[in-house]
Amino acid sequence: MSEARPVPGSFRDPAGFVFEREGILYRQVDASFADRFDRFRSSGLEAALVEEGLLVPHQDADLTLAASPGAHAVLRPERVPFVSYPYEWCFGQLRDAALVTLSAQRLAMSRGFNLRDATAYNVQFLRGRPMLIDTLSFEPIRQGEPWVAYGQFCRHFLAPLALMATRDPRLGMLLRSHLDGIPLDLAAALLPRRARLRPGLMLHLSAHSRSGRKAAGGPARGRGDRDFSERAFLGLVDSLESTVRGLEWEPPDSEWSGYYGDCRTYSADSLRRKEGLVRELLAEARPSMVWDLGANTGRFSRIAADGGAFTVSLDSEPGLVEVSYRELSRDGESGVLPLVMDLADPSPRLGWAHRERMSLADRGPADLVMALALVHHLAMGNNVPLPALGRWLGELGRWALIEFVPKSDPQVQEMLALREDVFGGYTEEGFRSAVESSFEIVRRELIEGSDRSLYLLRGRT
Amino acid sequence: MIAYIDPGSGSYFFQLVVGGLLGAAVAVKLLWRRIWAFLSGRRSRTRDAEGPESDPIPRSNDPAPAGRTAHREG
Repeated sequence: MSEARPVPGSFRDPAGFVFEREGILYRQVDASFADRFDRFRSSGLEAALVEEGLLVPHQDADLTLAASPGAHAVLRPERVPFVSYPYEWCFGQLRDAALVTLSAQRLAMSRGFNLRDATAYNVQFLRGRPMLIDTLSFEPIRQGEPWVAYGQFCRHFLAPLALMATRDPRLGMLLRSHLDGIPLDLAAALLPRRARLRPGLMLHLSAHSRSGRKAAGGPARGRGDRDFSERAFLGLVDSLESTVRGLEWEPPDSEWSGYYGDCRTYSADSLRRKEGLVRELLAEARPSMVWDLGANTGRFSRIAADGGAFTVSLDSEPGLVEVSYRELSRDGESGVLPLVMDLADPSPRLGWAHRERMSLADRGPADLVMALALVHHLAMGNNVPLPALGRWLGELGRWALIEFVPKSDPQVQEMLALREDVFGGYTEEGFRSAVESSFEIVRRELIEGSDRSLYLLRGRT
Repeated sequence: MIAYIDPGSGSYFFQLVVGGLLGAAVAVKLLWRRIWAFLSGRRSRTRDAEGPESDPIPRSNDPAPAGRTAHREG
């Protein structure tokens, strides 16, 4: 049997951990958690959560597959096609993840159970919906005790949602610098004055953060001198849910039309031709996993998904990702996962020993990376030399589908209007030689009605 | 309290302090629902003679379909 490789981000909870063996993902349940785990299963809560789409389904696996001694059970969870992190989600995704966490807590409470953690990293997107992935998050309620995960829920969900909805959606990125959620005193300080007057935010962020400071400075009090009733618990979850539901954010109108609704680059005809070519070239590579880099509202991501590939649709603009997410939800399209990512600064490795959260490249390579009208943004907007860009694309994908936009293009001319043209190497010939270090050119197609071209590239290794 | 994450002493005591208020809010909500149910029951009995109509009880806390935001058409 091949060696078990523990997943680096799964080390906090002594109840169990996740590991890989022969490319298959397993979760080991530790003997110390046996009683609580067996009660969770026999109560029917596990089945109810899976049925409601709140928890990732899993099968029982053979105990001999355990990664270490002392295992009570080994589970094989359904694998999510692409692991994503809260700092990559748009507002709507984080809001839905918060509501799923609260729905799971509510269902658990109705059967005498509780979530023992409420980290946003326990939520992943499967079949287009957020759901909890950690089967070990549930334990029987301890009568009279408050919710152990309340502070974590507020830091991981409520604080970023409140800042995104009432201040600026880009503040979701604070989750990247604060892996255990945004400190409540920081969130309270950044909230606009009017938002601080909303009862839910006043209670769960402002007052809650002040209690944290007092407790930190004051003497430790004994526990058990007061009880937290079942009704208070229900009230807490009700209040959190209505506070989350009360937070809304609408992308600016310009982003509903997206790049394509108000497209100056392509006529309707040449856009159709480009779509046809993209479909045709994707069919030639037959990828199962596509990363659409600089996806805008995901028009071409959906073409890739139509062709049978699971498509990760990355764009740096939270409003565009929000529009994409809502449209996908509306249409029940589960083959595309839209995420917020600045490709000039893609998600790095983060957390303990640089291994807790994966970088974008760690999650690859994709079968195919698609970069339509992106190269000039990175090469000129961010001064990335073409050879470096070629190598980077070679690390991310086994195949690549790239649109090259020449300097004569009106969009490039606009980008260069107010700056010195220091991009002497930015030519189609320069592009070809840059990508040829990692790829062979399989096809090159000019998009009729424009001076742009599409390249289908196959990795050399 | 036994937890593998640090629940934060502030968060712990804060819940104990506001627990009464939150519990009272639930009690009021349940009472209000009962009053609504009672009144709408009486009303619907009257209306049954005239024809069916939609349920007026507020459902603000019913779980929404998971993973779906409100959609804007267009």
